[in-house]
Amino acid sequence: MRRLTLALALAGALLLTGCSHHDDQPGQAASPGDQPTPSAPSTSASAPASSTPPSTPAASGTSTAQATPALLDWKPLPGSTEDSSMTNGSWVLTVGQQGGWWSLAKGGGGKHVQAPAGLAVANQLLDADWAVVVYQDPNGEKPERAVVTSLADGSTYMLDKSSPLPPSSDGSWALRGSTLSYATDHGKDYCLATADLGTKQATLGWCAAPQHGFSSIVTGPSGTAMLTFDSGQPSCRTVVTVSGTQTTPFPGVPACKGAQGALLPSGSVWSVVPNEHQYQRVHVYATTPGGVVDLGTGTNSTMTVCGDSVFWSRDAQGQGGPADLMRWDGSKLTVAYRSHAGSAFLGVPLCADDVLSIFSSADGGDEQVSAHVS
Amino acid sequence: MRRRPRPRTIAIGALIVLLAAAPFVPRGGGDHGVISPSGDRPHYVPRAAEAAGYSKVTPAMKAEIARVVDSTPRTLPRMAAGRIPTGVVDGLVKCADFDGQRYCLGQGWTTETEQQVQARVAADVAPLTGRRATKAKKARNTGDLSETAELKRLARMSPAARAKAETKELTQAARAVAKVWLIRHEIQGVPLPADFLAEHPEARTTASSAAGRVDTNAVAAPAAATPSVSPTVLPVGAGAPTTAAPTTTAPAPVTATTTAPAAPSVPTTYPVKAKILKNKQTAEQIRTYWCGPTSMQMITWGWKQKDKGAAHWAKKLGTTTAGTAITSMVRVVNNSTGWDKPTYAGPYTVLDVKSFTSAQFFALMQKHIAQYRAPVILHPLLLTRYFPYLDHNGGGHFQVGRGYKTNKHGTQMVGYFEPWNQQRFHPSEPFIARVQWAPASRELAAIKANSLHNIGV
Repeated sequence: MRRLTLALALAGALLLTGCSHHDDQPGQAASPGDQPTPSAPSTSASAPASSTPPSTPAASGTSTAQATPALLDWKPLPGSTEDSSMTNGSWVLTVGQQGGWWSLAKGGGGKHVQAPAGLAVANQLLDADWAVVVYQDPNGEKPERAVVTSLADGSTYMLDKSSPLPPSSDGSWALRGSTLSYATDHGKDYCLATADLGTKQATLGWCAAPQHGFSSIVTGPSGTAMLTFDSGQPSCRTVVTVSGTQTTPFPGVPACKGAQGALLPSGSVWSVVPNEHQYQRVHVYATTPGGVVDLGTGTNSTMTVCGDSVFWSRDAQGQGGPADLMRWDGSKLTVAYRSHAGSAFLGVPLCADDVLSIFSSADGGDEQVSAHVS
Repeated sequence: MRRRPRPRTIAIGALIVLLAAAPFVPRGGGDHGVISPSGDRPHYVPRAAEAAGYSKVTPAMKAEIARVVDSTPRTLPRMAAGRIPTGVVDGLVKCADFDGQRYCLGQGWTTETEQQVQARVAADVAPLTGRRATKAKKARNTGDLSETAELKRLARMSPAARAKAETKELTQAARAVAKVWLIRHEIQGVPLPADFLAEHPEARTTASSAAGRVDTNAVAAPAAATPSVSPTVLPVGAGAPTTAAPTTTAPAPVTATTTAPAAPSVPTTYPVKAKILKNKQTAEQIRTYWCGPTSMQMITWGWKQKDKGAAHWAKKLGTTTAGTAITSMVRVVNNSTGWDKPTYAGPYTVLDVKSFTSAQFFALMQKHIAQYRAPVILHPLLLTRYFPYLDHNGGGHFQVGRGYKTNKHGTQMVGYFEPWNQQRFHPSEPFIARVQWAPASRELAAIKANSLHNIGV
């Protein structure tokens, strides 16, 4: 297994060069006894989707997309909002708040399956015909294992260390159709594997270089994208397209600033982290035949492909506003879901077949809902 | 030799200051400026105290402490197979009433009743079978001490040791009662008791203090300029306060400030953003369960300007592989730094924020950072739902709150030092910087998701 370790020399160099941000430069904060630094009041209550992060160089020819509301027909998901639920329109896969159990049943509910001792449910994946629940050792010492359930007949099997390409102890997962993507330890290499859940055949894909890793696998009808990175502090992050054993960086993404990527027939969508000290917030762009389009801000690690579109969460713009689920279908930017107002934020949208599930929290109440995207 | 100013001069000067400050008194509206909030935002009225100092432990408080400690059964029900019987919860999770505020052992200052707290804890520590398992401690234990672990720790103690520990915790809490009252008053709009300043000189200002403070004797009258009401006494077992001023009422009239007996020491304005502690004085936890020691390492580093390392603080905190208790966190801040001085935050204590709105939480951060100039012990549950940039869920956790701002999108953000570097323990995950800012709403939701839903202030 070739895993990342903290490469201190490299880390130190990157720390000096990659962490250049105005608002949080070391040594500028007040020490005890110093007064906090006052600053002029802000005059802007909200910003349009067009705002461009100052530290993120936009590609030449960038245009700006204006979001319009096109809300989907959202319906409440059964169960508590403390738990994480997703549906494909028929089956509901639920995971307890801290991964202690999961359940799978048509319409929701169902028997709670307890995670094995010492393990927790780390991922939940659902599509039209398959459900996958991933157990993880919270300390990252034991290999992950996945319970694969056929929705057609209810049969299950385990993808684990006895499999030809066993899951690593820690990694990203994605399910599209019957293809499961995951990280595997292959000898000393840390690699991407894909498994056909029907035939149980697994294929070894791209392997990371020493001191490198990958995460945020996003699969769609036009291919697979993911984030690769090194062991720097901060990591130099690159959004790539995966094809077999090869990866290709997304064009136009500022070096080392990548966050996530996704592929559509009409092009790609990618996000960058403008400020390493606000790792939560990303700026999203689309690459189209006509050039790069600025899609505004988003929440890191919430990008997913569902149906013919890419979706991502955007926290409330302003304290009293709602949080939005944004949608880019290759040509237009819309708001697919809008939360209650007030201190709002969204969880990670979960796609199963062509059904999207989302958790939202706001002063007006939390909810967990789902909708068909097409 | 300079002559001391006459009282008349002082009064005229104070009036001028008040009139000059009047335009900055909150009138509602946007929150991007330097104006204190209104409406759902805190309802500020002038008072004559900055951070309250340590309260005196009165005979009544001592009697209350003795009552609570003596009520602990000498023999607790046996815990079979790690299960915690209800009798253990009821025997160890107890609350004391100090001057109308309720403090529950291991939980902090709360508006819940003792029965409500016991019921909640009993549900949290119940075995998985036969109940929803949402509280199962399955996620990565990044270092806070769970309720289950805390109860087991207490149950293992001898009755004498347990009584000593309970007495120590309750005494520490009692000494922070004035500060808690002021937070309830300023942030949540709870009227102060009419005799509050008379009973709590530690909440007054002194003539020798900084500008904006006045002579102690001049502020013996009730601090609240709004009509005084009876103390919001919360007898143990009683319900939540009903006399709390609704936080959605109109802002305090400007004239209210002019009726105060003294110039307000609560800033009617806060900077639109502020931060404390140096970015370089940060560290990542080197053990999965050391978020407490590492947070304390950064808190003390910021005070002492010297890094003693997390191992030093793990020993001081009594950290085990099960984690660190938040009550230990506030104890060590009080004992090992000067952040607890009245010129900073006053005595640190554990405060339940389950009832706080995002606006109130943000106001508390403003107060702590801009006025107290002292860090906050944040205590979230480290779930990807709240921190989606993390690759996987974690458990109860500590962070160091050290800043606030409203960004250009109008979102209120809190700044914090994050001891958890996911890449250190899970090398297949990208590095995330120690210095982070996140929306206040997400941080508060993560704190409320923690079964203890409290922070150290």
